[in-house]
Amino acid sequence: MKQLTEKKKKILAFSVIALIIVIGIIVTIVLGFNKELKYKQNQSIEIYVEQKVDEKKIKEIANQVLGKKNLVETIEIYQDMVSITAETISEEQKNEIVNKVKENYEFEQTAENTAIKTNVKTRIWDMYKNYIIPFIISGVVVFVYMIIRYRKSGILKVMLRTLIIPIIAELLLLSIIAITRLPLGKFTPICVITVYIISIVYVIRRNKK
Amino acid sequence: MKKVKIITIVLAIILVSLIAFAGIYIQTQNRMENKVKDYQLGSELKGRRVIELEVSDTTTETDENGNETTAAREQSPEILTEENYEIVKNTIEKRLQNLGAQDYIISLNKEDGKIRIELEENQNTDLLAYYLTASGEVKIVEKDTETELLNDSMVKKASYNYSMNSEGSYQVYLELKLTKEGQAKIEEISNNYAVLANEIEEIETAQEEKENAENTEDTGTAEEGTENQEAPETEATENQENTKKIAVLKIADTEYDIEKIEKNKITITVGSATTNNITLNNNLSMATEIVMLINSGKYPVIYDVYSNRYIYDDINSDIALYVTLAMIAILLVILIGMIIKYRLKGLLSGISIIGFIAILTLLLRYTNILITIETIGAIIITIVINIVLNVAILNKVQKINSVNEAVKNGYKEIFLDLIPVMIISLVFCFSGWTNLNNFGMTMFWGFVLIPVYNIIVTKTLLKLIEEN
Repeated sequence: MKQLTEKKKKILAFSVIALIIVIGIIVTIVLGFNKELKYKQNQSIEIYVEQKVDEKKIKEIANQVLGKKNLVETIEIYQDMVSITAETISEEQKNEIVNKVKENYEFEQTAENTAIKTNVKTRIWDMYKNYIIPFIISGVVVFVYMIIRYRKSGILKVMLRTLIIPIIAELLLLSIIAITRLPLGKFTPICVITVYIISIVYVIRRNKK
Repeated sequence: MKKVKIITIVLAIILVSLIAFAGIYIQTQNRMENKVKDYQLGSELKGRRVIELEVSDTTTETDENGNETTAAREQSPEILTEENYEIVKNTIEKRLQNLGAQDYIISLNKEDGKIRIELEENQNTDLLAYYLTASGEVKIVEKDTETELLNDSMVKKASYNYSMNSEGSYQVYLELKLTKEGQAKIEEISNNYAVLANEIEEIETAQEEKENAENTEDTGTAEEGTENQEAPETEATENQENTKKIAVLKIADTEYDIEKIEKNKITITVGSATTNNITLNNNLSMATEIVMLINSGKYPVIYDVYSNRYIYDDINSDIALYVTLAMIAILLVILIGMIIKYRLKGLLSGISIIGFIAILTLLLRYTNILITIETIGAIIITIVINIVLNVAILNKVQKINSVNEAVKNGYKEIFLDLIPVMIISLVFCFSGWTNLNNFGMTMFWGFVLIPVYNIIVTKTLLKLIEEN
C-alpha cells in the first residue's frame, strides 16, 4: 500500500514537471523569453547634469514619468551624466523628465537638445554562448565519473540518470522562467549553475540508493 | 584548562570575524585607512564600458597645415547588408578573443548595422576599445600613382617571428601567407615592379645619382663628350632598371619593407634590427598587433565609434545591503535552529561557521577573486556545504558519541558525494569567461578551506566539549 502511494506520488510529480515543461515550451515558442530591460530593444535619453547625480532622485522622477519599468544608470567616472532607459520614450515623456531633473539641478542641457536614442537589443545566444562549452566539458567529465563510480548500479541506468535528471531540471527552471515571465539577465546563469549542481547531487543520492 | 582553550578559540574566531567584516583601520595621513584588502568587484556590480559603433558616414582628412576637414562618406548599399554587419560583429568578437577579453557582450542591430559592445573595465579596456575600429588593411600599391596591385582579400594568414643576425641584433619579421590569387598576383608584381627593399633602395640610389649628374650637367658641358663614349653599356642596364616602377606594401596606410618574396608568402621587416630589449619588445608588440588584426578578418563595412562610455551598474548599494541582510537573517535562523537542537555543541559549531565565513571572505580578497553575481552564488553554495557538513558531524556525534568517528564519517559522506561538484568547479576554473572562472575559483577555495578549517577549528571545539 505504502509502495503504491510512493508510486502515485512519483507519477504525480513527473506529470506536474512534464506539464510545466510543455507549457514552458509553448510559452517560449509563442512569446519567447522575457529579457531584462537593458537587453531588450529600448530607448534612452542621456542628461549631462554637470554635477554628481543622486541616482535615487532621478529614479523617482523616472518612475513618475515612465512607470516602474525603467533603468537609471550614471555615466562616466564623475557620475555627472545620467542615462534613463525604458522600452519606449515619447517626446512628451522626455521633455517632462528633463524639466523635472532641471528643477533639482542646474545645468545647461535642455529638453530640446536631448535626443531619444534607440538602442540595440541583445540576442540570448550572445548573452550566454560563452557559458556553453564549460558546461558541456564539465557535463562530459561528470558523466564519465558517474559511470565509473556507480557502474555496479547498472551502467545504462546511471547513464540515463546522469543525462536526463540535469536536463529535466534545467528545462524545468527555464520553463518556470518562461511561464512566470521572469526576465533573463545577469541572475540567470547563477540560477542555471545552482540547479545543475543540485541535480548532480540528486543523481548521486539516487545512484547510492 | 579546557574551558580556557574553548574561550581562546572562540575569541580568535571573533577577532578574525571582526577583521574580515569590519577591517583594520590605521591612521594614514590624517585619515583612517582600512588595511584589509578590499573586494574586487566585477562589471555587474561596479560598472562597465559601453562602446557603440555606427556605420561610418563621414571621413576626416588632414591637410598640410594640420587642419582637419570632414566630408560625407558614402558606402555602397550593396555593402551595407545584414551579412556584412554580421561579419563585422564576428570579426570584433575574434579580435576581442585574440586580445584575451574575458567578459564582453556584443549586440547588433541588423537593420542599420549599429553595434554595441559591453566590456569589463580594467587596464586593457582602452586598448580593446582602440582595436575595435583599428584597421589591418594590407595592400601593395604603385608608389607614384597609388594604384592598388594586391589587396588583403589575397592574404590568407599572417604570422611573425624574429631572428638574430651575425652582428647580434634581433630583427622582427612578419610573414603574410597568400591565397592562390595572391600568389599569381605577387609573381606578376615582382616581374613588373621593384618591390623588395634592396631593389627599391638600388633604384632610389640610382635615381638620386642621376639627379645629381643632371645637376652637374647644367654646370659643365665640355667634358661630357668623352665620358659618354666610355660608358654606353652601364647606362643601358641602368635605364632598364629604371624602367621598373616601384611598388610598396602598406599595412593600415603605413609602409613596410619587403625582405623576401617566396612562392606563397611575403616576408616583411617590422622595425629595424636592434640589440635593445625595449625596441625589440616594441617591434614584437607591433607585429603581434598586425597579426591579430589580419587574422581576425577585415570589416567589409567601415565603422566609426559613436560613443565610448563608462556606465555604473544599476545594482546599487541599497540592493546589496538588502541581499546581505537577507543572507544574515537566513544564517541566524539556521544557527538558532542548530543551538536549539544541539545545545552547546550547536552553539560552538555555529560560531565556527561564522569564523569560516570570515576566513572565506578574507581568502577571496587576497586571492584576487572578482566579486560577480556568480561569485556570490558560489559563496552561498560553499557556506551551505559547510553548514551541511557541520550538521552531519553534529548528528553523528549525537548517535555515536565520538567526535573523531563523527568527523571521519561526516567527511566521507559529504565529500565523496561532492566529487562531481568539485569536477564542475575545476572545469569552470579553467574557463576563459570571467564570471564562470570566478565561480570556479571561489568554489575551489571553498573546497580547500572547508576540510582544513573544520578539522582545525570545529573538530577541536567539539573534542574539547566531549573531553570536558
